[in-house]
Amino acid sequence: MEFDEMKVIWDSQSNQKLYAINEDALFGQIRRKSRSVDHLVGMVEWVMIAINLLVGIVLVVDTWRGAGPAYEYAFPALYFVYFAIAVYAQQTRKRAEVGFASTLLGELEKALWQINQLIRQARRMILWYLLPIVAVGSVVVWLNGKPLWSLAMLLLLPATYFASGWEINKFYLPKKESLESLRETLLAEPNQ
Amino acid sequence: MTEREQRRIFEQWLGEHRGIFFKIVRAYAFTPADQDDLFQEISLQVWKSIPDFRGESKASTWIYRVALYAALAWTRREKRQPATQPLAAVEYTLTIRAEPIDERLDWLYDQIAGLEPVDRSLCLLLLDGFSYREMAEMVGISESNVGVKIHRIKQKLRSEV
Repeated sequence: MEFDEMKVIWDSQSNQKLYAINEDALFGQIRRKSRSVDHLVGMVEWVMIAINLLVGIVLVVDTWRGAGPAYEYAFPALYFVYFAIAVYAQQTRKRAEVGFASTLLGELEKALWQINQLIRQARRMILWYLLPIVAVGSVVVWLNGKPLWSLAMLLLLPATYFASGWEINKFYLPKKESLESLRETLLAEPNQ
Repeated sequence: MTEREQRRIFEQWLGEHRGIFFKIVRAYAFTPADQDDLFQEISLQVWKSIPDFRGESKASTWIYRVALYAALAWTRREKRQPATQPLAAVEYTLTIRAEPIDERLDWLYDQIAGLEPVDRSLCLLLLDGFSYREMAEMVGISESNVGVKIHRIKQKLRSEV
């Protein structure tokens, strides 16, 4: 059968009403799903912003109430620095996302960019986030005369390192590979 | 944009372009539960895209692009992770009408279902009368690449008959 004949068959469906839509149920589902945080990148950013801000505030209040030595303010200060970095990173990401083309390929490249961001974020988290926090935190705890707690904090590092690696391998890399394969298929120029 | 305004536009699009939703659902999902799931996913993505719609393209072109990407992403996700929601918990949004089925159309959808997911997108666009240039703009690949892919799709469809 020639393609033109297929087109005639295709056009015949314009009068067919194959499905009926339950609009109330549809809007219920849309409302439910759009309220759930489905953008992993956005969710991670908001969690980082909120955690750093809250912990920073709690630690400042706690240190101020305890009227401890000045070095104890180093810990909350670190959290405020991370809070500022998290807000800056979110704004940078939002500006970068506007640059993707409104095409299927553009959507795909945006999804790939987002997943790469998540992978980078997870890897940097250990070196630039947990390591300084654990280092400063364990020194402060040590100086407060709690060496065992200080050691316990240090032990968190390898555990978090493995957990982060597992998270990347289990969730992000398969998604990235699948997106890359889809992009390759889209861009491939088949042999005639 | 208020949710009320968003809903008004969505209802208008659903009323005027529901055919696009149905065609894509039928080309990418093959059981009633999957068709319902994909329809919800497409509806959600179209709904979320409304604030970004600037009217620079026709609404139908916009809906097609968003819906096709949603279908491709859904197909990729379903392959890895089939839905595990118990059937009893599902509230269906889409039901098949008990109307006489055009067997030729069924056959055509079977042919389309035999294509790779990306090729299915191009085939739907071609059948709906989009030009190579429009398809290239919508998909984001070169016009010549669209031409080569379409040529291969037509050959494949012809050989299946």
